[in-house]
Amino acid sequence: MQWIPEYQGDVERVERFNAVARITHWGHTVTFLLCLFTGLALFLGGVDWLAAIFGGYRGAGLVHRIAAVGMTLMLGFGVVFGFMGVIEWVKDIFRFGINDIKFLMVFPFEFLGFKVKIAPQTRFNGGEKMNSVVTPTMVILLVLSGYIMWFPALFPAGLVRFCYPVHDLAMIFSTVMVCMHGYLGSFHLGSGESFWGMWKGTVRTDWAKHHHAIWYEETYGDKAKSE
Amino acid sequence: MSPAFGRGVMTNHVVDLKNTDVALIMGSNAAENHPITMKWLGEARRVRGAKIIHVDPRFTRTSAIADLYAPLRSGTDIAFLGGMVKYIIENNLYHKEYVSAYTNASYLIADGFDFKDGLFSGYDAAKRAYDTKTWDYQYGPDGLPLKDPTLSNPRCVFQLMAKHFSRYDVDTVCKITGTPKNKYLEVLKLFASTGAPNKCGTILYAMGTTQHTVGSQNVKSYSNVQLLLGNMGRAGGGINALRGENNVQGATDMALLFHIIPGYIDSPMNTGTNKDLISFVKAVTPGAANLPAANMDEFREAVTKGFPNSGFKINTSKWVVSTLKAWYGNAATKENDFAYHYLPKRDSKKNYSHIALFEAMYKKEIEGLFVMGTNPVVGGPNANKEQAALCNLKWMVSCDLWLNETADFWTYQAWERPHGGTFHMEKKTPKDIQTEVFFLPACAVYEKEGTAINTGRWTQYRWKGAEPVGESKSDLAIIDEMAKGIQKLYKDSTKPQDDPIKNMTWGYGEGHEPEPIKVGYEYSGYTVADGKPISAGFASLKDDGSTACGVWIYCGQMTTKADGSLDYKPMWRINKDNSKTGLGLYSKWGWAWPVNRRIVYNHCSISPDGVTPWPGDADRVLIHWDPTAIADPKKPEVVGAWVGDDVCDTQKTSPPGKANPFLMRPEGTGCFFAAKNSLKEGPFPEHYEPWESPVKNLLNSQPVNPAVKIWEPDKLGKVEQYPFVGTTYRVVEHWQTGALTRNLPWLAELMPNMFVEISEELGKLRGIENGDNVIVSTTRGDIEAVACVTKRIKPYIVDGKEVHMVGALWQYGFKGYATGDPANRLTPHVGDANTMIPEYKAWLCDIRRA
Amino acid sequence: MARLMANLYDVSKCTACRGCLVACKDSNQLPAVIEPFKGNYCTHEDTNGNTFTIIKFIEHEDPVDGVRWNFIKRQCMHCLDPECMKVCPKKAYTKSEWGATVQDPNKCIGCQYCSYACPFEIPKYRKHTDTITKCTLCIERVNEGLKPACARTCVAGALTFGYRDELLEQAEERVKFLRANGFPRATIYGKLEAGGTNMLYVLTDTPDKFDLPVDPKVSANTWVWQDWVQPYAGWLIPIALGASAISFVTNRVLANKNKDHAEGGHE
Repeated sequence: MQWIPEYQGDVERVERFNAVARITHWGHTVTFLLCLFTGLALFLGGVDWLAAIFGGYRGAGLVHRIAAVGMTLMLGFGVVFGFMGVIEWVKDIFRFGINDIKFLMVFPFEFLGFKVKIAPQTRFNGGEKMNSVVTPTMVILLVLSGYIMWFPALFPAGLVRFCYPVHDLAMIFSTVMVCMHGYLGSFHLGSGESFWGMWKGTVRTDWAKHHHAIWYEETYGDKAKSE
Repeated sequence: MSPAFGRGVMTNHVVDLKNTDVALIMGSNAAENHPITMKWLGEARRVRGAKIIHVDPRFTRTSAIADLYAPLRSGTDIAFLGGMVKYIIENNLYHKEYVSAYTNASYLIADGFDFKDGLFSGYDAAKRAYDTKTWDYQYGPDGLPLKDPTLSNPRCVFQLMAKHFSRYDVDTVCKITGTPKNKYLEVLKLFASTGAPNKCGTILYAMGTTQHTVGSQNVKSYSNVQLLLGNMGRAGGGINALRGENNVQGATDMALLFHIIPGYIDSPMNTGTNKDLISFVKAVTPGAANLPAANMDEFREAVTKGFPNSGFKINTSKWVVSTLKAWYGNAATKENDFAYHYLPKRDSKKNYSHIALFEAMYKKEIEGLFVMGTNPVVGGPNANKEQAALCNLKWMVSCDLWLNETADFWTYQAWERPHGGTFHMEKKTPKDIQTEVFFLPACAVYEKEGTAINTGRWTQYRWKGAEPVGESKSDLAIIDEMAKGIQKLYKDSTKPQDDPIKNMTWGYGEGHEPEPIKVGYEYSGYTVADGKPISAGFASLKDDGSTACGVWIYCGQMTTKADGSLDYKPMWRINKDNSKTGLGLYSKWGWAWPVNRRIVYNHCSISPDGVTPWPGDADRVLIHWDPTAIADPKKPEVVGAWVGDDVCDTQKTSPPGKANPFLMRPEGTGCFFAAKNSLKEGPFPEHYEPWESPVKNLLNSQPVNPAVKIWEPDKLGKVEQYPFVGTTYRVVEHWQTGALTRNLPWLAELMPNMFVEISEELGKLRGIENGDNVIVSTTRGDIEAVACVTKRIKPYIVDGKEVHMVGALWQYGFKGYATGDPANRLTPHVGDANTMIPEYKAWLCDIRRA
Repeated sequence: MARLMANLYDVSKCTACRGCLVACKDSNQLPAVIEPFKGNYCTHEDTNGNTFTIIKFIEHEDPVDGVRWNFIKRQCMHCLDPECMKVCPKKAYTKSEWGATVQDPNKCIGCQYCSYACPFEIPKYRKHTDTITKCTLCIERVNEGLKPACARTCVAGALTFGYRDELLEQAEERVKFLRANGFPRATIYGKLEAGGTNMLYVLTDTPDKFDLPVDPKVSANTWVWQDWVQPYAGWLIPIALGASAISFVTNRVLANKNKDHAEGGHE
């Protein structure tokens, strides 16, 4: 049974994500998951065992807040030290076009394992573009509503009240995205190689040519070399 | 009230408030300072539909629940009430039968009596005092006053009173008091409605009435109104003086006032008329001044025969001698005038009241001072001067639960004053003050036992709830230890002047704590021969040395149980209303003086024939005449007595017509006209402005009460510099000077800071907003406080001019959790002509933002 | 169900002596919270973690009634259908059988959801215990047959504790009397407000003159959150996880079947 595709260090590889991007990504992952599990102790009823892992409800609350601060710091870190990378990322999102729509239309079949033909994709495919919009938005909402709930005395009561369902909904949507993102970025046959892109920073050249043809051409291909 | 009725006490009691039809609360913030009155007034409202009127310079928490509120400028009560008297007389609203039968309205007044421009006949401007011999009745050949039952003779009291108050018309009164005319008329109409025979109105008053230079006459004004309306001596009527502390009634009964001995008998002076016992009893017994009796035996005979113009106080000698026996025991004998010469004689020219004491201290005339349960640095008038005066003492003993401001008057903190104040106060340091200060910690009321007498004269024994903390002791224990210690120091002396100390009886137990019941036994009275308590009451007291009684008005409080042990009536707790018509007498709960009479002057609760109730008022009758009753089984030949649910306040076996409704007065009646030297400034009240006033008196040209002693004429504040009327008051959350309550966190939480209340108009005038810090100044000091700018205070329109008021909370000092400046640094050293109670309630000040 | 008991507070009898406040502090052994006087006799803006009840002092003036000084006692209203109970994630709130809304401090984690859900903004956060506190209607006292401390202390008879239905009858009588005697707008508050409460008021004027919410309702926010998001929206997550699990399986099955490239079914 193949889980994550094995790392092939002996073939040609190209860099996909630099160190700053990877640190930011995994920092977010850890803090997000900590926030998620400690938060679920509150969101769900009857999960005392979940809280117990963190030392009870007070402990869970404490960990939640520490992780939240960590996440905020990660955000800051990523923006400050990887500013150009963020710009590139945003530029790519704005390239959403017909290829991405085509991708999204065939994606459900591909998801289940059927053979489909996929149009050439930029650095981030259609689905990844969607993730890039939804997840950070949700995270920002989580962070803002979180701080407002943490210091309710500083804000108007109406705003505080509004933040409770906002925090819940943002959590739900971002977690749905994270589930998909996590699965697709690791266990899903075909896209699993992207795990190494975020872990070690490189992906197989042939995989890049196949899955992100436009990106490969522009970055590493003849087009790029000719510039 | 004594000049009007014979006794200066709350005439009814707190539970009785439920029987009233209209309650006039004036000069009192009863809802805050006597909260329990609200419980019973609530009952009156619920059951009888009673109405509550509140007349006060400020709109307080009492005004908030009153049915009718009318403002009045502080110090103008006599004008307000004088107008009421005129209104009642002119509109025929007075209770005619009552006035004819029960008051001195019909008595004719001597021709020499006169009144002009605010002065009565006999005024000596140099002495600031009256020769009162013209303030007297016309007497017939039998020595009794002449009367006109038709009340039409121009020299009868009724007509003279009507004439006196004819100047107090509604418009003039409203010009003086600043009360809006429509509100004033509403008050008059509502309260005067209780003149109807089936209606009873009651007046509740407190310090707002008494703490003025005309305080006594303010109260006399209530007496006049209540006598006109026929409300005295009736359930739901009366004048309910709400005493300022829970046991001040007891304190004054036991003569914690300089001018009396227990039971409100004048104390002896160093004059010829008091040189020995016989002279003294002649001087203090009404009507006895010119008796030929040369010794006590002859006097006793005369008393037994009776003489006119005396009333029940003809028995004064019995009370005096019984007191002397109680105090000096076997050392008081017939031969030595019952040790009368042991009693200290006060200097007739000196005044020993609070203000006088502090003035003397200031002049370095006093060496030592005990301040027990009192805090003059916060509660005394002209507090800056009083604090400075304390520095002149050689020693001071302070006794309180906590170190209060007076105990710590010598500390650095005590001399802090607001920045930017205009009054120059010399800042002393502990180094500058030579007074040796001792502090004796006292325990709280729940940590000791004994009786307390509430405002309604109910003596209730209180049992201990907890042990005293640390080294604190009860006041009784402290005084006991001191007295025993002093006696020990003098026990071997051979000097005659030390005999009073050596020979004073002190038998309250030998243990660590004195036994309150032994004190009770002494002051309740006992027969000397067998030591049995006199449970029948003061009528059994004698002046031949066979009885002893420390406080004659308490006589009868002690009795014995079947087994012979003492049964102290103040301990009784039978929670049953013995009134057949539900009037709330509770005669077996505690013991009320005199002789457990719950409502005094209760003969007035029934019409003069003693049998017919006032029309429509049958369920408020307290006593009635039963011609078949036998009062004393030992004297079965005396048939006919007054019976009822309350103890009758008249001669028990005197039939209607002979029985006096106000037997403590020589006249035997209620008095509109306070004859002779009953009150220093006049037999009728007349409006005088407070010592410091923003306006001229519209009724006469006197600048102030003509009989008042002016201690510091140079401290008179002028309206040009001090344009606003200042007054002081309490709030429910704090108790008196706050020495107790400002040390309690929960109460400090409720009222943490000193504040003053001003109208929105005054706030605008001086640019003060709600919550700003302000400085209030008078010629005697400055204080800093938070301003409470409120809609509840409005400027008074006095004779067309706008007059503003600054209301200051006086309960703050520099100690405890809740601190602030004492408002009494602003009040003056001037007081009522009769009681010397300081004029805390009306003075002039200025206010500005700090 | 047991008969509901309630506290009736009659504004027309209250003299604002605040004995009730001190009795509450004493009974619950709460520390004093000393805040400076800023021009109103009530130094607290609202109840707080250590002050379960306050009396507010509100001045009004109008040409008809003149100056009115309205007193109002504020504390938990003990709603018949409390919002605090609904939003609490730890189910720390319960309703006693006679009507008190009681919060278990051992279950409370100080999240303050209840503070913001309450239409009267009553539950307050107490920092040093990191929990919420509020009036308990003296449940321990009442269960012993005593009255709540505030009702027990009230000298003026403004607070009465008893059966809710009886008190409502008394309140109706009282309002009728007040309306005929100078208070034409006297009204009962708490009979229907917020679905009915166990803290009833007889007011001498309309609720807004006492700074009471005129029509206290649960905010839309709260029911969207509690009634929709909480129970339903969360299912999206397990759906996403489930879909991923299905995808995991189907991909490998199809790949095996097609004997395809390990990289799955794509061109």
